[in-house]
Amino acid sequence: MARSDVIFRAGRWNELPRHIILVVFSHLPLRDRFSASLACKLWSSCFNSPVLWKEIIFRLEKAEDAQRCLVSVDKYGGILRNLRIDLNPKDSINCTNASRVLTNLARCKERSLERVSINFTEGNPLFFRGVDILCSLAELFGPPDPKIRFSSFLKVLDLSEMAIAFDDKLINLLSGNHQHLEVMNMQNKSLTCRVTPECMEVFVRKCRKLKVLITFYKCLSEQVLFAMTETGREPMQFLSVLCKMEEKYHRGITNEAWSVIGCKLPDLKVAIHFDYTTDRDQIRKILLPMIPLAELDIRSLSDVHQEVHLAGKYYHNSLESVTISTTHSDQLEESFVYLAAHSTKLRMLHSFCGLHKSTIQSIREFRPELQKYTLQENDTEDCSLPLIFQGRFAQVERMKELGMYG
Amino acid sequence: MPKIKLQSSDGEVFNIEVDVAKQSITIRTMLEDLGMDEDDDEAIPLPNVNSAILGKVLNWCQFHKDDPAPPEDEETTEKRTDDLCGFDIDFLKVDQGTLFELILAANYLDIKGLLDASCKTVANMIKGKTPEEIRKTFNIKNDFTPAEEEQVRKENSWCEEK
Repeated sequence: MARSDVIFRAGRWNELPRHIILVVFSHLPLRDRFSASLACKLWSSCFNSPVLWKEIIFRLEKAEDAQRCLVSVDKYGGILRNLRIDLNPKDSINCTNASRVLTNLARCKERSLERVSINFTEGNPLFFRGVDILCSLAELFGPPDPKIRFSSFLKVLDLSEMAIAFDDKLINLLSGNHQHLEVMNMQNKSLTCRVTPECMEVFVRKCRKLKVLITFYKCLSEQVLFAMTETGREPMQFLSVLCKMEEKYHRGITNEAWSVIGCKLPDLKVAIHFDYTTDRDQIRKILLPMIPLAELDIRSLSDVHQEVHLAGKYYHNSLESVTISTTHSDQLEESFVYLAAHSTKLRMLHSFCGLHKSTIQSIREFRPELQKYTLQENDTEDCSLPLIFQGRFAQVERMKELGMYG
Repeated sequence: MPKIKLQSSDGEVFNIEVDVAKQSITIRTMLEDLGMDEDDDEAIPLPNVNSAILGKVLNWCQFHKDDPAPPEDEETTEKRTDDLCGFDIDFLKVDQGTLFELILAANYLDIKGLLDASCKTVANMIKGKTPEEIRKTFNIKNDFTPAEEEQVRKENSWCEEK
């Protein structure tokens, strides 16, 4: 056989093995899959293969998007494993459509859902309570129609970008019906969270495979932590909490309790975030020495240099990531250097006010292994208030590390 | 560096480092099953791949021999097609007949990295085209009757972004 015949022979693309066509299709967005499905009969038959519909991202930006999403649910709801809904809540029609998608999914004869995440692509309009979305989520997570054969495969629930305040009702439905949950992220941007520690305790007890919990400090109690140490359950790997001013009236967790947790769960890493509403007293009450703290994030309008120093003192054996947004002072610079010098595991350090060149140099010398950092020089005397930081680097990095992201 | 011999369908023998050849799961399995010694002078026959294509495949394997093992098929969000390395992009700038043969070879030899890269290339060739343009690019005969084609179009039209 002459080489030339072989090289220039045209391929018989409509005889390609199915599983290869499926790999090609899996790289195509919907619109191109549609065009490809019309090329020939073989390619068309691949279009409906369940393999391609295990993961769907529903984008709801305008009213017309609904139809496409609802048809997808009708056809593939039963085999869908990864569900992501991105919606723009500014237009109420998108919220209504998101509810319809969730409700239709809840009514599918079969369920294969393993991962669910709902993301608001923009900020909420005024007076938005998201009642319809909460209702359809309740239907999705609630016990199904007795006629439907149902066992939950739900492993990951990420509602961090869904800025709706939820309460015990939703969590109780999860505790009752989705005990295989491994990752729960409820730390969203809503102004308040009405989930009680008692409800959280039941949730942790029932979901014995839970290894990542991202929530609010006010939802925790010592009982919740002790529930994590029960024998025979999957050990908790990552616990992240956001502290807000309302924590003032919260019972809090004692140093002794943290000590017990640290002993019983030696691999546990804790992340604590303080937002701008917290004050220094509160920070000091919460930051106790026995916390196995891996991540610290403080946003404050007052001067927290003492708290930064404290963190270096208490957590130098465990700290991996530190993000501080506060007013500038020379003592803050000293605290940063102290923190960097002693925290051998530190890999991320973000300071939102500028620092002196010498401080930055010292930090880099002490911690050459720093992977991600924001350490900018400050030339001017007057240090303007730090920019409000959007997004959560540390959390995303952590989730990637645990294989839970994307 | 131990080497083995591979023989293409048209009789050409390639002498190649074991590490390079083992990127093909098929070859790796054959070596284990046949209990072959690195000193063996026997060539492994590959009746499904001709010399031109086998040569190219081995060239790819040589370049990628130090790559980390590809991850187990994870459910990833919206698979990307724009992350091919420079070598792969150039390597796959071939006529579609050769591309077709490379895909079949990568499939037969079970070389995930090459199969993935070629499928991404094909996907890139499909993106943005109408069905008729796709048929032209890939020399596909339209085996639909007009009625059948209309039926499929209607059934799947919900995908079309308005």
